[in-house]
Amino acid sequence: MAEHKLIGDWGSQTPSVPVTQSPPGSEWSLWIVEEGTRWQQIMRVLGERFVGSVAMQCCRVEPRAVLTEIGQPRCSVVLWELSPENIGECCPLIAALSRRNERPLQLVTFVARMGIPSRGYSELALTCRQVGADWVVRQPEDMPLVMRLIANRLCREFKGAGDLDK
Amino acid sequence: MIESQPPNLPADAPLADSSSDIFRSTSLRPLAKLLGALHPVWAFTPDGRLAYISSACGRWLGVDPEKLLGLSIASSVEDRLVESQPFSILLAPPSGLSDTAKVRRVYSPQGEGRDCLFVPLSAEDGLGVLAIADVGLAVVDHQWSDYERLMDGLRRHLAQAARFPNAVISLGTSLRARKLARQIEVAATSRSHVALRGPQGSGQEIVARMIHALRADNAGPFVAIDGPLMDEELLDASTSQVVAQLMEVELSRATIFVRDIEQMPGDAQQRLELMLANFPGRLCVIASTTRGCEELLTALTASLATAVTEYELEIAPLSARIEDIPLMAAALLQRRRLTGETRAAQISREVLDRLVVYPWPGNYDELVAAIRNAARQCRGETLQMEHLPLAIRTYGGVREETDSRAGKEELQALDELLAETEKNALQRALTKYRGNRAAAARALGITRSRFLRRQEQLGVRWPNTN
Repeated sequence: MAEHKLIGDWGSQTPSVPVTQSPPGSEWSLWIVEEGTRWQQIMRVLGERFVGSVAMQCCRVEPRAVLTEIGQPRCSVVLWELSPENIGECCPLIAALSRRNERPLQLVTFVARMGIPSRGYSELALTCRQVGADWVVRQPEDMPLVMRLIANRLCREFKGAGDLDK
Repeated sequence: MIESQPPNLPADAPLADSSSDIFRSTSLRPLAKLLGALHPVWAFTPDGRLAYISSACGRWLGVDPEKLLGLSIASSVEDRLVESQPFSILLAPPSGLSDTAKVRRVYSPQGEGRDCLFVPLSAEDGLGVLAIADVGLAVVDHQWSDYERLMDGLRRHLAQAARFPNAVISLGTSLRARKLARQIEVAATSRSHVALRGPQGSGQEIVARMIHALRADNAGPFVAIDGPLMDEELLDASTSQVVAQLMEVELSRATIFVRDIEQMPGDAQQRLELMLANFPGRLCVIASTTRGCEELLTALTASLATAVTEYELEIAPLSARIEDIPLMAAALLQRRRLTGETRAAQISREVLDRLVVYPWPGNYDELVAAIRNAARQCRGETLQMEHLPLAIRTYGGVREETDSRAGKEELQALDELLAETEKNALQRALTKYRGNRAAAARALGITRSRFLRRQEQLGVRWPNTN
């Protein structure tokens, strides 16, 4: 019987889903496409805090490299920081990844310097979802909920791996 | 084959302006007609329906204007919807259009972009927005905001994606392919919920998107969620934009695609059930599952199970559609070629044979991935065996090797069988002639020396010490 361990803690937002103890050597990968290092720093802290029982590999990648870099480990999450400059390059990649057999979880956020009118945000988010994104993250404060989604995904993946081992 | 958009028109096709009754009664009609003679022009009613479209616009978009008339993009211009339908997305005015005119670059399905001026009109005019392409935009002092550039990029991608409708999955001449195409058409004619049953990787999401795209012009946004990953709160958060839109805009519609619905937790199922009850006829669920209707009834809450099994569509595994594989592979390659990813235009006979023989455990998704990888590796005009992924390339070889190993085991077994028989014969002869090896050799019809050699080799003793 696999052991369960509660993950993370964020005040009242403690994730309710236990992550199955991961198989030895397993890890999840977070690929971040961004201009600076803002999300890399945020995710390093939050990743360890929320999904601490599973090793996290957090890398910043260029958009073009995502298709080739991703897919090696079982669990992958891609965070796209979209800006007017990279939107043309990123859109086809998001769509291509969403059609893959081993589909990674794709999160989309927008570059911080961009002013998004509040009325337009919903439309922007829906359009991103139609392109292939799984979740649109408006600000770092949304991350606890997103981490729960990631934890659920890991739980599912590792349960699957456990079943395979048997 | 199912087309998700009207076919492109030839450049010289005779087209006429199309206008609704509302447009005919408006005071702006003469102006719009005058502009429409020179530029692509279109106009929306205040509730977001296309009321006028010029023949020049139809020619630019490659579609008969008559077919677009009445197309809905919103029930109010300011809070307009984002549609999955390509022309709704293409022609929609920019967000926040209220007092001043705005410019947005609009791309035709063929990728031809034009700067268009969107002019908001007053209610007295009877129209909501008038759009004119290629008009002297120098007179408009327009600054593209970051937000508009981002939306423009997303729209451009969706328009390009709509150019290549993903109907490859229903291609083919087999009975199953024809049945799938027919079922998709039937599912698209109504707003009923749909359960897509098929093995993993059989392209349920593609079929769901096809059904959504083929539905009436106001199909609304399409949002996909992972059923097993959801709980009540996550479901609320991931569908919040859809729900907000359904609440704000009275006549809007939306589709939620739920992957692996049978594994959705109970609390999320109840929440989804509640959402369906709140927006009857406007919120549609297309669910993918690996189980049949009867099993779904036990895995889901009664009401949700009844809803999603309104129409069940079965997608056969790829291995059951062998005769369709060459056609599908060729179509997938052609698509890669059209998007400029590869120069390859044809598939060698050897590769086609291998594609047909391979069992495709990953189904349609595996075929797509195989053609994608092969197309990327191919530098010439023909896909060859070396371009295929290793698993497929070596499949036949592995099978032959396995077969030959099995054959070798069979030969070894035969040798052992013969040795055993020979040993028994020698033993019986020695026993009969009470150890006289010359008499035993004669009785067996072999020379004494051969008898002695075989006796030594097989370890036959007399009297039998075994």
